[in-house]
Amino acid sequence: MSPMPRNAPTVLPEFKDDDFVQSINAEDLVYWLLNVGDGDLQLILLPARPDGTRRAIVVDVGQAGKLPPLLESLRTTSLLSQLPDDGQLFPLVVGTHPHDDHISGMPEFLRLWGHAIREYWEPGYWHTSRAYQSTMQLLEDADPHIQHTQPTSGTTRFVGRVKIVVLSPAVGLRRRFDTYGVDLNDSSISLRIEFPASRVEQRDDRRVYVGLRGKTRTLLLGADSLLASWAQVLVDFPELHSENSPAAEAIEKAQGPDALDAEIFKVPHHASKHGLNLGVVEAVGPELSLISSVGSGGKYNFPHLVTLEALREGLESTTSDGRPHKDDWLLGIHYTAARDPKGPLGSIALVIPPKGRKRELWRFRDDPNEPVDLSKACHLVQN
Amino acid sequence: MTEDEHPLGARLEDLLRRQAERRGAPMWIREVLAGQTADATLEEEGDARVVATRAGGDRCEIEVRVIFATPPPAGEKLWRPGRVGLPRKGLEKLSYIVVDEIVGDDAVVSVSGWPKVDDRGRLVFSDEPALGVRASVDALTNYVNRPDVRSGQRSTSLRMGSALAAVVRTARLSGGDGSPVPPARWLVPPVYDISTPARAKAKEAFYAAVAPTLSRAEVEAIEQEAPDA
Repeated sequence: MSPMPRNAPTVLPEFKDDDFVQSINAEDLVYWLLNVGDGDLQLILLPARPDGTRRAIVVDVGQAGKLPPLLESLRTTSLLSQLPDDGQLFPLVVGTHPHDDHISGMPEFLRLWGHAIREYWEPGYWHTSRAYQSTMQLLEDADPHIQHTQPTSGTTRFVGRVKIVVLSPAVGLRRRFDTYGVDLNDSSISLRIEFPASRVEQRDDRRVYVGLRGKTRTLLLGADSLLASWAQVLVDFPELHSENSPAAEAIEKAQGPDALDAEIFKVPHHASKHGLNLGVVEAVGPELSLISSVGSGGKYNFPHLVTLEALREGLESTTSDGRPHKDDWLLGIHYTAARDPKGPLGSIALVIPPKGRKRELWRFRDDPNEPVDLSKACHLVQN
Repeated sequence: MTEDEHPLGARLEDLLRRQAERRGAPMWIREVLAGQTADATLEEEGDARVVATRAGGDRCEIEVRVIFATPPPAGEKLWRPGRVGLPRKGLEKLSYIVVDEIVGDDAVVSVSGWPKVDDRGRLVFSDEPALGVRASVDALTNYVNRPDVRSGQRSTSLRMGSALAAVVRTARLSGGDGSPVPPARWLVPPVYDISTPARAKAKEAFYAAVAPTLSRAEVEAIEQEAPDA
C-alpha cells in the first residue's frame, strides 16, 4: 500500500467498487489529484451553480494526454457542464511554476480548452523549457480573453462559493525572481481553498451575516514550495492568539485564528526532503495528506523518508515515547503511486460536501500513462 | 486521362506483383494482384485497404498509404542563436537541452528536438514529446566543461534553466533503474552553452504573453522621450 517499504501497512485498507458519478450531489466540490507519476495534475469541480451548471479549476497539468479524456468523460456524465459556448467553463487555471512535471501538459490543455478559460495564474518566473515557451505562446495567442495574473501571497479570488487564497510566493520572493536568486520551486503558487465561502444568508428582503468559522471545508494545495517559501508563508499567515494584542484579537475574529489549517493537504514537492518540515505540518494539521509521486525511486527519488517521518510525526506524535506510527492510510496519508493486491490504486478523487456529510476518497486504478476510467472507481471504506 | 494512360497505375501493379513474388505469396493472391481475380471477392475497407477473400477463409489485405512530407509553415526556419558558435550546417541534428530541475545532487534534464522560429521570432518545437534524463550535476558540469567537449572558452556552471545544444543519443537516455545516466553515454561533443539566448527567448515569450508587443515606432517614441518628461 505505502510506496515506502519501511512503513508497510499492518492492515490493508478496504476499497469498494461503486458508482462514482451517482455519489456526487450538486452542492459537493470534487477534488482530483491525478496519477501522473512524479508530477501534479489537479482538477477541482466546483459545486453546481443555482442554474445547475458546474465549472472547474485546473491546477497544473504535469502530463499530456491525461486530462483531456477525463474532461470528456466528465462532460459525458454531465458532471462538467456543456455551457452554450464553453465560455468560462474554467474560471481559473493555475500553472503553479514552470517545471515540466507541472506544465508539460499545459500546452495541450490550452490548445484544446483555451477558448473556455477566463483567467490564468503563473508565478512570473521565466524558464527556458519548451513547455514554458509553448505555454506562453498559447497565452499570447489567446489574448485578450484569458486574463493573465501573477498572484503573490494574500491574493484572493472568489469563484462562486469557493474562496481561493494565495499563500505563496511571498512578495519578497517575487521581487527576486528576475535575478534567478530564487529556486524555481520556491516560485510555486500555493493555494488555500475554502468552501462554502458564503457569509450572507438571504432571508426574503433582508440579509444576515453568517459566521462560518470552523464550519467550512478547506484544502491546502502546496505545489512545489520548498522551505524558503514556507518560511515566508509562516510569517505572512501567523497563528494568532487573541490574548497577544487587540489587533490580533480583531483579525482572529474577522478571519479565524489559523490561516493555514486545512482538512486536506496536497503535500508540497512530492514529499521531497526540502518540501516540508514538522512546523508546516503542525500549522496545517490535515486530516488527509495526499502525495503525488511514483513512489521510491523515479527520476527524483520522491518521496523522501525524512519528510514522510516529519509528516507522520506531525500527524501523530510518537517519537518521544518510542511508539511506532499507525499505518499511513490510518493517518490519512495517501499516495498516487500506492498499490494493493489488485494493482495500482491510481488517481485520487475526494468528494467533499459542505460540512454535515462525510467526505469520500475514491481511487481509479489507473497507471500514470492510462486514462482515468470512471467505471473502475472504488472508494475507501471508512470504519 | 483514361485508366490505361494513368502512369502510376501500371507501376503500382508492378510493385504489388514484385512484392508478392518476393514474399512467396500463394498463387491465388498473385492472381488477385495481377488483376486476375479468379474466385476471390474484393471489398474496400476505408480509404486505405482492399481485402481479398475466397471460399474456405483465405484472406489477403492490400494496404495503400500515401506519405508526403509536410512543408514547414511559411516563415519557419531553424533557430540559430547568435554568439554561441553553432555549426553552419546540421542544426536539425542538435537537441535543445534544458536543466529543468535540480534535486540534491541530481539534475533532471529535458531533451527536445531543435526548435524552429516562426514569423514572429518565437521558438516552435515539434509535436514529439520532450524526453527526460537524470544526471549527476557534478558529472554533467565536469563533462560539459571538458576541453574536448565544450565549445568556446567560457566555462559553464549549471543551474535550473541552463540550456545546452548538442547531438543526443536519445536511445541511451534511460538509466533503466532510474539512476543518473553518465553524460558521456548520451551527450555527443561538442556541447554548446545556449543559456543566454534561451533565457532571452523565455523573457520574450513571457512579456509577449502578458502584454501586447510594441511596434518600432512606439519604441522609438519611448526612447526619444526626455527622461524628466
